[in-house]
Parts: sequence; structure tokens; C-alpha cells
Amino acid sequence: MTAPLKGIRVLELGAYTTGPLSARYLSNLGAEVVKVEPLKGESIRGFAYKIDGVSYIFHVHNLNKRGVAIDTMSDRGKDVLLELVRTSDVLIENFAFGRMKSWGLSYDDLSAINPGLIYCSLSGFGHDGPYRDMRAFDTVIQGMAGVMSLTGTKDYPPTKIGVSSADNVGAATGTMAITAALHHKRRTGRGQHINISMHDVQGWMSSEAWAYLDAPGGPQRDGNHHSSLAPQNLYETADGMIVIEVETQTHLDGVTALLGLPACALEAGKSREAEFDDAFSAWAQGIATEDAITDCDRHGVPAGKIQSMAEIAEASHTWSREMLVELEHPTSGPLKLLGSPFKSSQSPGVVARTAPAIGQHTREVLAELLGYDEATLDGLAKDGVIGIQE
Amino acid sequence: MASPFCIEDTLVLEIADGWSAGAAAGRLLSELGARVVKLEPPEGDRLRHIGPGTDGGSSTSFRTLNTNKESIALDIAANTGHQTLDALLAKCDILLTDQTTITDRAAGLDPNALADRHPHLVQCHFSPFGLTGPLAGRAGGDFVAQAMGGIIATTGHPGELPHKAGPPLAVHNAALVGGASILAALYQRADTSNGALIDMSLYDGMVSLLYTFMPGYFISGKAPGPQGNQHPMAAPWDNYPTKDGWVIICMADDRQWRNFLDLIGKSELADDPRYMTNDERVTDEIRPEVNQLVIDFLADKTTEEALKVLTEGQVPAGPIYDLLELMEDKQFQSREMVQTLLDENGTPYLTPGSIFKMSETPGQIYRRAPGLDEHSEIAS
Repeated sequence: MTAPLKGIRVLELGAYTTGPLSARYLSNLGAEVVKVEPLKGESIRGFAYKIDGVSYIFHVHNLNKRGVAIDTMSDRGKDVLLELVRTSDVLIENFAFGRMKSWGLSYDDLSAINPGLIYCSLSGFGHDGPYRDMRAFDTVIQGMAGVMSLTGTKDYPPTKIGVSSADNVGAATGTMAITAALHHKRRTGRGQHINISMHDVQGWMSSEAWAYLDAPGGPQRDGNHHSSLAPQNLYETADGMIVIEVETQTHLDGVTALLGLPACALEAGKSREAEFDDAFSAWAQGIATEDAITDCDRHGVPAGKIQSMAEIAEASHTWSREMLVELEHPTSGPLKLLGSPFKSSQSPGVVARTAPAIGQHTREVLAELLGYDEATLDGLAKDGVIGIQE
Repeated sequence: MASPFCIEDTLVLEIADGWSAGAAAGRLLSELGARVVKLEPPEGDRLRHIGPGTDGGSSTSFRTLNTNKESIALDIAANTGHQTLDALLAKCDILLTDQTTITDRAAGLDPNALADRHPHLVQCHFSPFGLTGPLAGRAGGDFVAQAMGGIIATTGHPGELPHKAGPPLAVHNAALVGGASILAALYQRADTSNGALIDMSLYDGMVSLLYTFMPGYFISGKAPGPQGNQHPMAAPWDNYPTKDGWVIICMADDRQWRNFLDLIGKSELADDPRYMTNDERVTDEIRPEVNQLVIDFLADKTTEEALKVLTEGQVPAGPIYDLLELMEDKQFQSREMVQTLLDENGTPYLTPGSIFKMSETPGQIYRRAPGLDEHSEIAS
């Protein structure tokens, strides 16, 4: 089996999450990713929870990649980078708007030397519009895109999604846009500039609620309830919590059978929400979580427990799906890392190697892709233009 | 002249009701140029009948999600329906299916059997837990995937019952990951002529988001609970009260922390070992102290004043908007993220613009949502 993007070369210039994650997704699909870091390494290496001085999260985001260290602020370093750009299909960057241009690395600069380059910029608000200069991190984006206003209850201020939704869904958007642009490139030979805004993407996620814009006060957060379907809620069981999720008439028929209530049309479910909540709360408090889920299963009612990070890390389903994998790091020992969500009959998703040390592959990549000989590499390293991990 | 599309001459059949990952993926592919035909049961997609707008024939949500698509109605459980479906699939490049829809409508529609009969097809089957593994076949949608996938356990406030992500995070995330997987398989098909069966699980998509919590868990063994609005690896990071509301502040690194100290006139604290790096500031002991510095600084400022001074001082900050404010937001509007279309009755409705902003082949919104079976000629 051959991975679908085998042979596609991706150059990653970025830090933290969005750019590196988007590039890792492409590597899971088979693309060859070269991560370019400054000589001191990228910023997320310094995040909390370290192994041998490197943050664990760096390892998670950067598996599969080869790492090259270049001082791209120097003229000679920039020349090396431009040579790499010439050999690449895709460039991913997630710097603040304007930074790449200030370094002479804008899309216009780079498409001039490689017209086939697909150049993907991932930023908080995009590279145009009145907020393009604003610095933004995940929670700021969630707040400004209305996502927080829909999350939590009225008893608390708007609440963020616990995970970094803006970073992650933004990264996935970049990945899908890049795979689309590859089709256009194959047809025309031309690359293009992809200009993804995390704010756009979070706002797009809120669109299910746009139907309620005309309601008094607009769409509101309502805990675990769904805006138009019921029952959907979280209930406390004898030993934990479950969620019940009705989406279809078949599900709702199962609910009324399970609870011994009169049948109900799906469209009318929301008007009987309080009745369903009362009945489920009473039922759930006398039953263990696992038994509750079994009962729901038997009645065709979708249900699940609230799994913590610990339960997910222990769950046989997680390992069976290879969503957690254990890879042996050359110096730090075995590491539990994220697997590939891209499961296809053509390819199970590529998970090949642990994240690079700073400059681990500088020598290998510059020799292989640019034909640099040993003397050239040693000279560049000695002058502080590139970093080589020996 | 209109821009060209990324993908051309690509026919997609979508068998996915409701606000599901399959239907969201169909919408995304349509923006990139695919012709997406939504196959509905004779009574129509269940989303047509739920929520505001149903008195106009279809709910507003249905129109919002299914803009750009065409519609045919077909009872695929009937024998003749199966034959029509097979004839359609012979012409299609991509098939999108969703587990809930398939279980509800036609138990015989097995992704593996379809792959055997139509080896050229790139099909993507969306389901809560995937086609393999101990939980395969278990029922669920966005909410169950958020629960089982660790999102709910970390959303909400410490000491309270946790909450789901308000927007359907599992659905939208799976639509994008599945969409990338589909386009990659289609790219490969041009060389091999072989289709693919993509097994896209909402659970897998959610687990992919847990990287924020893996370091703490795998190093300290501590499984995180509801986060409030804080970040496990960075501080100060929270919503903070102003005189008239809230601001979000996110100091991701030590440079931003020093920017903040300069702003409040306490630059000397930058060298205080108790606060110097995120490693110290995120601890249970120190986090409340650094948060208090922010709270004190904001006490005499309105949200607008706070945002102005924080932004000028290079400290990442933002307001909290509700959806009415989002619709009026000048950035969202400038990026053409709110589009107004007329439905088949001539009534305006809103749908998001394309999130694919691309210089040569931007994602496009070009067709109102279809009436039920409005494009029946496709099946004949």
C-alpha cells in the first residue's frame, strides 16, 4: 500500500501548533515534511512538561518530520532556505501577518522563484481585513468567533472549549485546502496562496446556530442541550455521568420505549425536553454507567460516557484504532504519541519516526535535496548559518 | 470572469442526513468545485423538518448546511432504489455516507460491499467510532463523540458538571479531516485508477485534539478536568473582568509576560524566579498570583479601554462576542464569511462563506440549497 501523498514535499516554517499540526497531518497522508527551525529551535520546545529538556507537546506535533536548523535571518541562511523552497511543492507557515514579508519570504517573493509552490498561511484572522495585524491565540479566537458564547451555561461567563479548537480545526482546514490545491497544481502546474483564518473557521463552526439569529437575544448557550433536538443532555448515574443523544425518529422511539413514555415525533421532542430530562435523571441515578449504556444500546439510543484523558489512554478502542501509538525515541525512550486519523483501504496513515532534535537532519536533507558536499556543510555550520546535530 | 475551481468534473453522491459530518464534508467539497448530489429519502432529509424555518418547506439549518448541493429523492431500501443507486454510483467519483443515515434507511448498504462493486469510487464513511475496533457500530453523533473523545471532560468550570463544545466540534472536525483524506485519495486515483474506502471516525478526530492534555497526563499521570478558560501549559490565560464585561487574555510565552509587566509598570518582576517562565506560572500556587495582577490592572478599565492598551502593549487579548456581534464583526464581513441567499420561495437566508480563501481557486458559494428532489433528472 502506498500513502496517497507520497512524493509531495512540504516545507514547514512555523511554531507552536497550527502550522506544525497541519504539516503533521500531511505527513500522515504520506507527504515528506522538512521542518525548518531557527538554530535555537522553535518556541514550543520550551512549553511546560518536558522530557530531556524538550516539551512533550513538541514530540506530539512533530513526529514523521525531518528537522533542519537554519539561521534564515542571515543572508547565507536565507539563500539555503530559498534553495529548499525551489525543491518543494508546499510551504506552510503560521507566523503573525507581515513577518514572512519582512523577511523577504512572502508568497509573491517565493512564487517568483517557484511558480508551482502552494503557500499556505495559517493565521488568527487571515492576511487581509481590518484585524490582520492582531495577535491571536486559541482562546481569543474562540471568544471573538462566538464559539464561547455558545458553550457552557448562563450561570457562568462564556466558556471556551477545553481543547484548542481554533488551533486544531484551523490546522485541518489548511490540510484540506492544500490537498485541494494539489489537484489544481497537477492540472495547471501552478501553485497559489492559501490564506486560512482561524477566526473564519471557528465562526463557520457556529453556523448550525445561525438559524436562531432571529430569536430574542440571538443564539444562547444552554449547557448540554441541543438547540432543536431532545432529549440530548448529560445525566449523573450511580457512579458517573452519561450523555444521551437523540438525532433520529428511531432514536426517539428507543427513548420512549426505554423510559415507558408515550411515543413522540422527532419534531416535537424539544417541546417535551423537561419531561425527558426528568425521566432520564430519575432513571440514570439508579444505574451504573456501563449498565446504562448497555440498556441504551439495546434500545437503539445513542449514549456514551464522559471519558477523561486517562480513560481514553487506557481504552482498547483507542489503541485498536492506533490513535495512540508508542514510538521509541533514540535518546528519550518510548513515547506515547498521536496516530493518524486518516484511515483508508489504500493506506492506514503514516506514523514513521519520532520528532527531530534541533538540526538532526540538516546534513542529510541539504545533501540529499540540494547536493551540498561535506565541506560546504561544515563551512556553513562553522559560520553559524546552519545547525547540525552531530 | 469567475475564478476556476480546485477540483473539476468530480461527481459526489452524499447519503448523510442531519447536521452530520458527511453532510458537512459534502458542503466543503462543493465549495471546491465538486458537483454534490444529496440523496434524500422520499420524505426528505430529517434536518428539513427540525428547527426554525420549517413552515417555508425546509428548516433554515437545512438550507445553511446544504447550500451549493443538488437533491434527488430515492427510497434506497426498495429493490428498484438499489438498482438506481448502483447506476448512480457507477457515474460518481466520491460517495459520502454517514452511519446513522445508513442504519436508519438501508441496512444493506455496506461500505465494504459498495467498495467491491465500485472499485473506482473514493468513498468516505463517517461514523462515531469507525468501521473497526471494539466500539465499531456503536450509535452516536457529535455529542457522543465529544463525550467519549475527551472534549466534554475538559470543558466547563472546575467543580461543576462539564459541558459539550456548543458548536458541533466533532462533526466539523471530522468533515475537514475526512475531506482531506478524500482529496488525497482522489489525487492518488489519477495515477492508480483505484478508489479507496476511507473510514473516518469522529472519535479518532476528537482524540487528535487531545495533544493539549497528553503532556500533563503522560508525565504527571494527572487527567485534566474542566479547564474553565485557562490553559494547562500557559499563564496568565483566562477571561478577566473589566468594568463593563470581560476580556480574554492569552500570554503564551515569556516574552508576552514581560510585555505585560512593562505595561503594568512592574518590569522588575520579570527577573523574579517565581514568575519567570510558564513552567512556574502554571502551577497551582503561582497561577492565582499572576491572575490577580491582571485582575488588578483591569479593575478601572472598560473592555474597550483594556483591549486598546493590551493590544498596544503586545499582549494577546480579545473581546467575547455572541453570534449577533459576530454577524456584525467587520473582519468576518470583510472576509465574506456571511452570505445571504434566496431560498426557492424567494426568502433570504444566511450561510457561511467558504473557509477556503485561495488566490487562484477560492472556495465558492454559487447555488441555493435545493428543494426536495429538485434535480430528479440526475437519477433517470
